[in-house]
Amino acid sequence: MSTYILSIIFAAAVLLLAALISNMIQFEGGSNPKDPGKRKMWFWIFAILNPIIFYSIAAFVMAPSNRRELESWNDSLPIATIVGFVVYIILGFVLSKIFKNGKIGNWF
Amino acid sequence: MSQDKLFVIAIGGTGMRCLESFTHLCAVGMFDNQEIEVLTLDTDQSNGNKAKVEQLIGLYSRIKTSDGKSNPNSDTFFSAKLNLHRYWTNYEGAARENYRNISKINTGTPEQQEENQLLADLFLDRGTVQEFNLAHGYRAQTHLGSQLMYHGILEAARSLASGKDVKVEEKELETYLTKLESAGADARVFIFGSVFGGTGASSIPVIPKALQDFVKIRSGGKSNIDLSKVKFGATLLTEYFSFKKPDMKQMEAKKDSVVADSSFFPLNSQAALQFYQNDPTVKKTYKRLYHIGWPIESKPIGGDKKDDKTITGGANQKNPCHIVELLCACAAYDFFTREDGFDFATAEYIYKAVEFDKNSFSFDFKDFVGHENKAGETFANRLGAFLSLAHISLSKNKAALNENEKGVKGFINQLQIQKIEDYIPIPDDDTVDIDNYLKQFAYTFEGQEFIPGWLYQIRSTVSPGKFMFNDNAFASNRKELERLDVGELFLDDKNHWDKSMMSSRYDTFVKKLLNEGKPRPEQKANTIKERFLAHVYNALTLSQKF
Repeated sequence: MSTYILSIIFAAAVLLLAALISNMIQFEGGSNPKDPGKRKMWFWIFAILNPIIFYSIAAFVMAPSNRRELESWNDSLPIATIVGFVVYIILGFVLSKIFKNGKIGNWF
Repeated sequence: MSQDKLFVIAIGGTGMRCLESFTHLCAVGMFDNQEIEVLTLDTDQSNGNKAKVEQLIGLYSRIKTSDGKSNPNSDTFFSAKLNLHRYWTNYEGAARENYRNISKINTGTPEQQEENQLLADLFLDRGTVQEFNLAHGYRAQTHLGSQLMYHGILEAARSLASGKDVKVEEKELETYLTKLESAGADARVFIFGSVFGGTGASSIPVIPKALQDFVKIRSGGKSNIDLSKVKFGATLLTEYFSFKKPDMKQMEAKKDSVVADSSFFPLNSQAALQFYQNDPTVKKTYKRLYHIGWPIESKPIGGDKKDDKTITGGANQKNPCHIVELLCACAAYDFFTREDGFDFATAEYIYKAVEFDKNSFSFDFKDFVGHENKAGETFANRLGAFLSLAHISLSKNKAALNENEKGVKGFINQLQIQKIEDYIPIPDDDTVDIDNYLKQFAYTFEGQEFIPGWLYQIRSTVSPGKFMFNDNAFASNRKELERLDVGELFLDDKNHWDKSMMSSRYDTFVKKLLNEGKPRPEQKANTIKERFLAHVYNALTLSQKF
């Protein structure tokens, strides 16, 4: 499976996790509730963790043993990581706008 | 709900407190699609209970008004429109301060003066009843009060007919009666007052006749109110509170020579009930009379202040609320919502009983409004929703706990954060009005001191008996209120808001507020403020699963 597809699947999984955590953060009362800020914070924490974790796993755990395949893997890995990051942000933005009145609406 | 035009008259201090309960029932949303004309009637313009309820109705009307417009709504908070009219008999100045002066006993020839005096002495004690200051009401002297209240209303009619020296309160009475007159046979008039005290007890028997004669005099005989067609109802409220017995020192002054003594209230009540049972005028003019009382010993008002004088009236008379006042308001609900029961030739007397066990009463929602047309469930839902709103605004959003916090504004902020921006235009002053209303309804803090509002005061008169909600719904401690789970106020678990592994009860409520609570057309919520209130009401109703 190409690094690009893996990166996109990984980004989607991390996004799902971010959505789950956002939904677990309870609505607060008061004039200045802190819960929207917490959801946004977790979204961006995962946005940063996503490329770091993906790159680490892909480079050190999933790397193929065959030298030719490894070269190709390593060549595409940085771009795939960036693609994963961009996909995470774009998907996060789209979901945030689709569910704008919900908890993940706080992401953007 | 009836298609008749609704009128309320609150008389005297007790009547004002019943009106306070009635106003809260309107705020809760029990009078859908109604525009109700309210008249406060008292001899004591400075009375604390009167001022309090008039301020409350003023606050209610401000909440109800947007851009100068105010309309009745349906199935939402503050659904009824209230129009307040105020009338008070004027006993200011030396010429009007007591019976002797107002009836001009000392005018005319010496022979006439002597006859005047003899006639007055036949009915009223000289030196006491004839001479006490009327500014604080009729002080349980109903024989004097009935005469003077009737006289006061007719005096206003004459003043209006002549057009000379018309006072603002006379104009307000005229406006009220013009509406009553035009409603004709479609009018329902409910009168709040006690039968054991002074002003209310004096006025209830004579008010229908006085209003009829007012219309006749003011119109020069061209108009009339047909008392056989207008539906009059009233509370026959017997004694339910007591206060400190007046001492001789206080009664030394002529102006205080008569002070109501609550130890006579049971006797007054008994005499009054005999009168209401037998008086042909009362039986003919009233369609329904609701007999309400408190058959166990009441806590004395101001019982801790041993050195104080007995309060005869004035600004200091601000008695705490009692459950019988809510029952009186519910009697008005019955009178205004029933479809039949007005065809009897004489008044029908209505009463009911509630469970009494271990020396305390237990009240369920159905005890207040019955169960026809699911009235009990409607009442439970609406009162529960309003109490929840109060807790959310006052404790969850901290409006009562911190003077810098704005409770209802917190809702609007929360909705704005969740991209529901429809309610941003509601001015801050309007949200503060709603907060202030909720404080009067439930509670507030002055510094560290907890100040119970209407519902808390009422509940305290029943405690330790059961009172519709869980005990923790009436938390009064700062920490308890901060920790309060607003979603479990009801006694029945089925009405608790949902919760799950992922969501607290409040969380599921906010989700409903965001996704499902939009106002429906049949709620007739037109202004932004009305839509906001309907939106919150809907989310609370959905959460309570009624």
